Amino acid sequence: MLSFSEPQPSRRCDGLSRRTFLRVGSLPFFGLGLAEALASRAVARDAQDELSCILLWCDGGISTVDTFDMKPAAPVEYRGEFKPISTSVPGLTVCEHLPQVARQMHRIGQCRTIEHTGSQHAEACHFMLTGWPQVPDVNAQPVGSVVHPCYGSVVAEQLGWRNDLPPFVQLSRGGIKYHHAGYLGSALDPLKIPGDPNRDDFRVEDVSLPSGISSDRLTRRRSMIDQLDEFHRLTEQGAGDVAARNQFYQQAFDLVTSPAAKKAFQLAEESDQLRDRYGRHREGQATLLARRLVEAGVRFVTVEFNGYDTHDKNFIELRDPLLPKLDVAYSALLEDLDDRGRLENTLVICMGEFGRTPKVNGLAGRDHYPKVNSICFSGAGLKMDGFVHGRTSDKCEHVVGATNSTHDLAATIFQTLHVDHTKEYHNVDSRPILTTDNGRPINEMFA
Amino acid sequence: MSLRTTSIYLALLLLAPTTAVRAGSSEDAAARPDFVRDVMPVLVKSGCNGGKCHGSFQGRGGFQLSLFGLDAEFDYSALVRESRQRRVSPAAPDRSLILRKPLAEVPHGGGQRFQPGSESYRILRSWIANGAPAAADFELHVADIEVSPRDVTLNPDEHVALQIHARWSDGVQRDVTRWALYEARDEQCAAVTDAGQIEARSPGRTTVTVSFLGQVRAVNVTVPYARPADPLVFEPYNYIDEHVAAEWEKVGLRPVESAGDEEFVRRAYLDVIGTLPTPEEIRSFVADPATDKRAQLIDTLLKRPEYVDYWSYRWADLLRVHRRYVGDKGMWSFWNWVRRAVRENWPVDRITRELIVSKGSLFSNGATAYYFVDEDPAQLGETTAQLFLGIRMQCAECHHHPYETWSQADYYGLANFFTRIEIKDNGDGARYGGTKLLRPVTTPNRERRVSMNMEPMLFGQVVDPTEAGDVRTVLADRITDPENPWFARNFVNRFWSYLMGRGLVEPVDDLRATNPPTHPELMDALAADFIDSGCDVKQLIRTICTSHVYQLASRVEADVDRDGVFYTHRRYHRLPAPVLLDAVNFAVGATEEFNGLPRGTRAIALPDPGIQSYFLEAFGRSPRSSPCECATTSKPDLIQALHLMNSEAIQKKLAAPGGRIQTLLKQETPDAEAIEQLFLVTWSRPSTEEEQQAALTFVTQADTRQEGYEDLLWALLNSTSFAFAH
Repeated sequence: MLSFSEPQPSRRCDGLSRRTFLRVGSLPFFGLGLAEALASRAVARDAQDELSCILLWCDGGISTVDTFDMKPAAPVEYRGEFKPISTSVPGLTVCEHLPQVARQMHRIGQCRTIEHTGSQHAEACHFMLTGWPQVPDVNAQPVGSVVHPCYGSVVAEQLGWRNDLPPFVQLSRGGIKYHHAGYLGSALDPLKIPGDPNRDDFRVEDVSLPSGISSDRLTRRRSMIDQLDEFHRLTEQGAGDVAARNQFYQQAFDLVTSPAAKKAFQLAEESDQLRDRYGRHREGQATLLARRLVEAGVRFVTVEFNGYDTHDKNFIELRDPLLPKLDVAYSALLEDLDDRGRLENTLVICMGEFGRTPKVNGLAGRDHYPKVNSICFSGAGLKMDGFVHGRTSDKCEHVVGATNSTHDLAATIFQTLHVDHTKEYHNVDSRPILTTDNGRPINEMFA
Repeated sequence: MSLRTTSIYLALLLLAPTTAVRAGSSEDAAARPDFVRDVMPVLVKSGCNGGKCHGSFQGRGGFQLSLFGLDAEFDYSALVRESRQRRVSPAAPDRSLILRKPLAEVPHGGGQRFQPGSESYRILRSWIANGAPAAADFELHVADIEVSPRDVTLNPDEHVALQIHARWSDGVQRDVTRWALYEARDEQCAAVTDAGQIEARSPGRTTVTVSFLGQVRAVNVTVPYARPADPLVFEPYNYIDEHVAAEWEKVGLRPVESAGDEEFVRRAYLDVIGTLPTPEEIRSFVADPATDKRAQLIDTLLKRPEYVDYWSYRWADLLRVHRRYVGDKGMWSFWNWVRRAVRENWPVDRITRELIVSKGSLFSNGATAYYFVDEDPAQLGETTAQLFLGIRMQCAECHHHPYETWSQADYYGLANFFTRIEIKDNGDGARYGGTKLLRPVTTPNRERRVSMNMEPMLFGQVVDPTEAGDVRTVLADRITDPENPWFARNFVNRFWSYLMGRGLVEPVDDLRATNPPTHPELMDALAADFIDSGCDVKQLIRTICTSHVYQLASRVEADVDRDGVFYTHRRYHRLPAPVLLDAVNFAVGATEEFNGLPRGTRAIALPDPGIQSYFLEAFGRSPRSSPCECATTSKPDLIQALHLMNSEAIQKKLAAPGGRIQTLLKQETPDAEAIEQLFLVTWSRPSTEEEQQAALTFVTQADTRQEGYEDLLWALLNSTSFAFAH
């Protein structure tokens, strides 16, 4: 037999964030003994271990003035065609095409202070998904070699695997720019699931067994690998890449044969009623799948809602199909998580790479606008109940008062997930790089 | 050791009088510290100017200093002129933030940096108390540092103290051991203290970098293994072996045994032509009684058509052949140029020259694509330095290189070789498929201006563009000049790493004084030989592959020399993505269908990554987005494991009609023969008796014979021995 080591490649030995560590480190000063310190460590680890994140990513950039930050008093060429409706939070309104979300606004807190300068999709994705600026060339390829890791990859690097399921999963048909591990290396990329969970024949490419291969047959096959490696005197764990590869094979087998993983992908286990509630479309069922994955042990799941790049026919596209899909899936997720008592340890974020121009263009569309973003947060100890941090000008053209950088956004997300946002990494040139560049968590967002 | 120590003392004695006379006593320094000479070292040593702290581009906490402390005037102004005398307040020195922050009397993001009463504290305080005077001369800089010893051999747990002497631009010399910064490259081997004491830990070889205000030096540290009792028995085949063996003697290592014929044949095929040998080729090589058959095999492989495919692919990764830069037609033009250069075995200096001085139409001269992959003169400069010289200049665009002497002048001097060209297109641009015409001109093109305009300059030598005609010819001359130490070293190091799995310098394209080769004499010998051969790549490959060191057996995990720094054994490394895909297809008897190319096109023969392939993406083919070799990854990951073991695609190939398994079954091949064949097409060696037996049991236990063989081949494909070169 191959002696595989624990399938947790990058878990930190203490499982503590720097902040927690500093706190524990100072405890004995106040007369707390070692036992208590260890106990508090265990608590810290448990709290950290239970936290997960679901990112609903509105790919293309979602219009803020048509959704969460409406300006009914602005001239019509700004406020657009949609009307605000009242919500579960008195005084707070939301777009008429988000009626279900309106009933969940008490489970959402908003941040309207984030601005950045990425006006093209690729650079904007890099800003919003990693916190860092990135200037791509005309082909949207990175200029220079530093591509930063996205939030999920940093979470995977710092917290590692929880069980048989990988820590970071992406549910997207076409892929999301810069939604990968960047300089941290492909081992921390998300597991990508491009399939449509709304289809009856939904299978997870390379994770579901190929046709004709039973779980028993795979196990039999695997026993032969072990035997072959033994013949080749490769019984030891090996070193370097050989050891790493063995570990990934172990993880791959665990994932493929894991009853928990198999179960997580079985959407049919959910009631028809609940599946209807999430919406019978790719986005709705992917959001439901995200909840199941998080329950099964995945730390960070990104669900892509695509088509938000509404340069023309903005109102037609948003009215149908964009907002109705988001409306059912997003509202169902919040309600469902809360019903199951999991909202307090699941961070839900809804955002895109930028907002859209507040003034409607000649094609009844809106263009790229990174100066204004409405980011919705729920759960995991953040303020909800309709809390709104910051405000935008009357025509939604800019943030009024202090703004926050995307580094602050990153630091807020990391802090919420108990991930060290000050950790130093090294890129391939061995140049030191911090997780965020001096990002500061937006304290107002924390309950 | 004692002799070396004596000479250090001698050097110190000789230096001492000058120091006393020119620099005044150290009390003088403490009494009237000079900003550049005394205060800057304190700031740098305390870490204030680090990239993570106030040396960052945005500064920290609203306070910015120059990165690595290379701009004293800037730092003086930041301390004294900004912040209304809060940072430095001569009236009440102890209230100065520059003292209170690093003492952690007030909250400081960087924590406590020095103690009250420490030398750093005293110098800073005394400078402030004197009225925080400007430097006598802000142009004053460190002209040179002398580090001793430069080369140390220490047994584990031994230590040695470094001595650093700085010579300032005004001639003053000082012992700056206390103020220099130290960094050990491999702390497991040897560590270095803040005060410059090197402490040996475990056997190996590493470097310690010493830096002081813009000057950097490397100290080589060797920590020998326990001396082996047995004498070294090793037959050198050529000069490579002598150099490598000399190091074994020095550090007390012994090589493993030589590789057997089967191991050698697989290695040679994979390394020289990126292709697995067929069962017939393996059998005939093993059976060949000739004593020089290994050298003969290398010669045969160098003439194979796959040699052109494989090395064109490697060059195309380096040169970034990709349609995204030059459109479809431009890409084919560039690709065909690369293939021709490899096919005709052009000397590397010719390849270099043709790229640098290329002109004319993109469609008729593919080499001009060099100017469309990077369009910006500054980036062309970076690429040229990295590709042909192995020098990473990127850092110097914005700041002095932390570990090298490259300055912004070097950076822009190089960029200015690329401003004197004119590009004509018919309006649609090369990236969208149109043609382009490149023509050298004698005056800088306004459209190609860089942010620092100066005369073209390489290695500090300025070129007069009015005399040069096309200045790029001067650049090509200087780069390929046999006297240029970087050019040949860069290329022999790259090819050495392709064949040996590890460069004499790592990373391979990061040659610098502070990153010395593990075997300096071998590097020199290879470089000299390369120049003598007329920069002949095939000759270089032949020399390396016929050395005894190349032909040592492999070890997954060696007890000693784990990183393979001393080449005592062959290390395992994963096959590059295209080589692995071809190997899988060969083993299962399938051909790949790539979009727009004839069925059966090999993955190593693909022109660019514009050709879709999930397998190649998953296994990390080069995206050809950077001239750095680091852009290609052959690191294993989860996605790869899942794909190879559990994908529909691989399962289909295993079971395909006309595939290897189906063919074996249709021909009613006897089990022994069939099993033998499966081992030969994956592991490139016949199965042992034990393996035969186990495989046979395994196959016959399956529900059907076909399933049994599919499962056996699947297991071979997923075994470590298949995916790795060894």
